[in-house]
Amino acid sequence: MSSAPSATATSDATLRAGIDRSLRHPVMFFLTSGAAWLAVSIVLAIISSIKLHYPEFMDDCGYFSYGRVFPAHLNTLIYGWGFQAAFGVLIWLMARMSRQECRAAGTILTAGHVWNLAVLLGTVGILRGSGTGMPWMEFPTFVWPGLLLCYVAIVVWSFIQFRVRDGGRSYVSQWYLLAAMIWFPWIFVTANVLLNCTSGHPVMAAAINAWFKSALMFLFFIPVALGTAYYLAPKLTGRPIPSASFARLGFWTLAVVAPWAGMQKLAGAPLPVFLPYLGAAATVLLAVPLAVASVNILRTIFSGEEKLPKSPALHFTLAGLMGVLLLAVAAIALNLPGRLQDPSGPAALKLTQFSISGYGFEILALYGCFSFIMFGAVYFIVPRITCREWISSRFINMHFFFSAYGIVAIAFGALFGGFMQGSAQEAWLQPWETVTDVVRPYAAMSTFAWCVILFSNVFFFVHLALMWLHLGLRGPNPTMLDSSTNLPAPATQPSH
Amino acid sequence: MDPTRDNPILRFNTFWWALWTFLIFGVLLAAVIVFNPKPPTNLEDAAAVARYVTKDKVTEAQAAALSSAEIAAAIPKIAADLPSSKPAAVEKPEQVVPGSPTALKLGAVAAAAPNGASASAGVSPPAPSQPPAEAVTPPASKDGGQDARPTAPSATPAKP
Repeated sequence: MSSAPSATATSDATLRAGIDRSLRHPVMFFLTSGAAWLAVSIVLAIISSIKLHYPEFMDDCGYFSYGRVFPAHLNTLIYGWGFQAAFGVLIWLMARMSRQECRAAGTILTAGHVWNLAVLLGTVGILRGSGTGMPWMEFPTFVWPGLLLCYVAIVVWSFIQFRVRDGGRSYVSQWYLLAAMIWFPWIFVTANVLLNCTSGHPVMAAAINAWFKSALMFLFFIPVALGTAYYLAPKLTGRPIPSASFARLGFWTLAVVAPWAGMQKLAGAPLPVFLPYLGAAATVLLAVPLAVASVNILRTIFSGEEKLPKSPALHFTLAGLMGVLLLAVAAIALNLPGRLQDPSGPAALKLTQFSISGYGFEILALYGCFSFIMFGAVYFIVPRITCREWISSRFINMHFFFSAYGIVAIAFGALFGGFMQGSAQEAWLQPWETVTDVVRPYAAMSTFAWCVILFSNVFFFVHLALMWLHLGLRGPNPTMLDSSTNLPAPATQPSH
Repeated sequence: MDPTRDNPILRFNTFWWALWTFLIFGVLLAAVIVFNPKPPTNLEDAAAVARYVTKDKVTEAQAAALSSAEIAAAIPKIAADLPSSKPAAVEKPEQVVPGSPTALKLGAVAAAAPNGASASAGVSPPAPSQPPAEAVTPPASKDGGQDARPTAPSATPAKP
C-alpha cells in the first residue's frame, strides 16, 4: 500500500528537481542582474530626490540633471529590476505549475543578456539627453523593438509549457501570470506604435502615455505579483485558497476595469471630457480586484490557528499584500474627481494632479506591492534551484525591515506630501515659493528613505550573488527569520 | 504524462499561436493605420487654418521690417550724429505730452480756431483713448450680483 505513494513522491521530487535544474541559470541570471539594476535605480533615486530639496547638488554635471536622472531612475526600476524579477519568477512558476522542464534555457539566457544590453543603452541614452520625454517610455526610440523581441523570446516557452501542461488543470496563479504575459505585449506595442511610429496629436500622445503607465502597472506588474502571491501563500502555509469565487471575481474585475484607467492624469487638458473622468472612475474601481485578491490570499495565510512560520518568503509576501491593500485605498483617495470648477467639492484629483503623490502611488505599486512579493518569491525559489539555504537570517532581516520602513516612509510621505503640495498650489494668493517650502521636508524624508532602502538592497544583492556562487548553507532546514525556530517545511505542500 | 497532450506538433503550433497572440494587437493597429490614411479633420485642424493665415501675415510683416543687423549697423551712425545735432521742437500734436506748456498752447490755438478747422489742422491734443462705456461694463451676473464687479467710469467723450 505504501510503495505506490512513495514512488509517486519520488517521481514528483525528481520532476521538480529536473525543472529547477533546467531553469537554474536563466532564473539566477534574471534575479541577480535585476537586483543589480535595482541598486542602480535606487542610487539614481537618491540623486534625483536630493535635487528636489538641494538643487545645487551635482548641478555642474549635465548627465545628472534632474530631467535626466529622474527618468533614468524610474526606467531602470521598471525595465532593469521589475521586468527581470518578473521574468525570473514567471518562467519558474509556469514551469513548476505546468510540470514541464524548460527546453530553451539557452535562448532565454541569450535574450536576457540582450535585454540587459538594451536597458543599459536606454539608460545611457536618457543620461546623455536622448530620452523621449514620455514617462515610463523614456528610453530612446530604438530600444523598444529590442525589448519586445527579447520579451517574446523569454516568455513564449512558458506559453508552450502551459499549453502542454500535465493534467490539463490550471491554477489561479497561472491565470494571472498567463494574462500578464499576453497583456504586456498588447499595451507595449500599442503605446509604442502610436507614440513612436505615427504622428498623432500631442495632447492625445500624452493621454496614451498616461494610459500606458497605468496599464503597465495594473496589467503586468500587479498581475504578476498577485499570481505569485496566490502560489506562495498556499505553498508556505500548506492551506488552500479559501474562495475560488473570490479568486475569479478578483481576476475578471481586474481584467475588465484596469484597461480603462490612467487618463485621469490629464483632467483639465483639451481632451474629450469623459476620458479623464472614465480613467478616474476605473482607477477607483480598481480597489475592488486589488482588495478582493489580497483579502483572499491573506485569509489563506491567517486561516490556521497555529503560529505562522518565520519564513522570509511569507513575511515579504505578507508585506506585499498589505501594500496591495494600501494601493487600493490610495487608488480611491487620489482619484476622487470632485467638481474641478468648484473648490468646495471633494477635489482630490485636482489637488494631487500636479504633485508628488503620483510618484508615491507608482513607487507604492512598483516597490511596496510588486517588489516585496518578488522578494518573497526570490527567497522561496533560490534555495530550490541552487540546492543551498540562505546564508544569514540577519541579512534577510535587515533587508526586510529596512525595505519596509523605507517604502512606508516614501509612500506615506509622497502621498500625504502630495496633498499638502496640491493645497499650497491652490492657495493662489501665496507666492509659489510656499509650494516648494511645503514639499521640501517630504523630499528630504524621501532621500533618507531611499538611502535606507539602498542599504537594505546591498545586503540582498550580496546575499543573492553568494547563493549563485553556490556559497549557501548545506542543510536540511530552511533559513528562518528567527534562527531559534528553524522549522522544517510544511508537509502538506501542493505537489506542483 | 498524457502523451497526446505533449508532442512536437502541439508545441510547434503553440509557438506560432503564442507569437500571433503577442503581436495581434500590433498587427491590427498597423492595419488600421495603413488602410486609414486620410488626414484627421477635427476642430483643432479647422482652427489651425486660420492660425496659419495669421502666421503668414506676421511672417510677412516681420520680413518687411528692418532686420536686426540693419538696426545694429545704423545705431553707431545715429549715436555719432546725435551729440552734434541741435534738438528740434516737437511739432506733431500726437507727440506732445498732455498738460505740458506746448499742449496748453496748442489747445488755446485750437480753441481760437473755427469748428472743423482744428481737426483738419491737427492742432487739438488727442483725447484719451478709452472704449465706450458699454464695452467695459460686464453683463449682469446670474447669481444675484455676488460676482458683479464695479463698472468702470464712463469715458468722457472728446471735445469736438
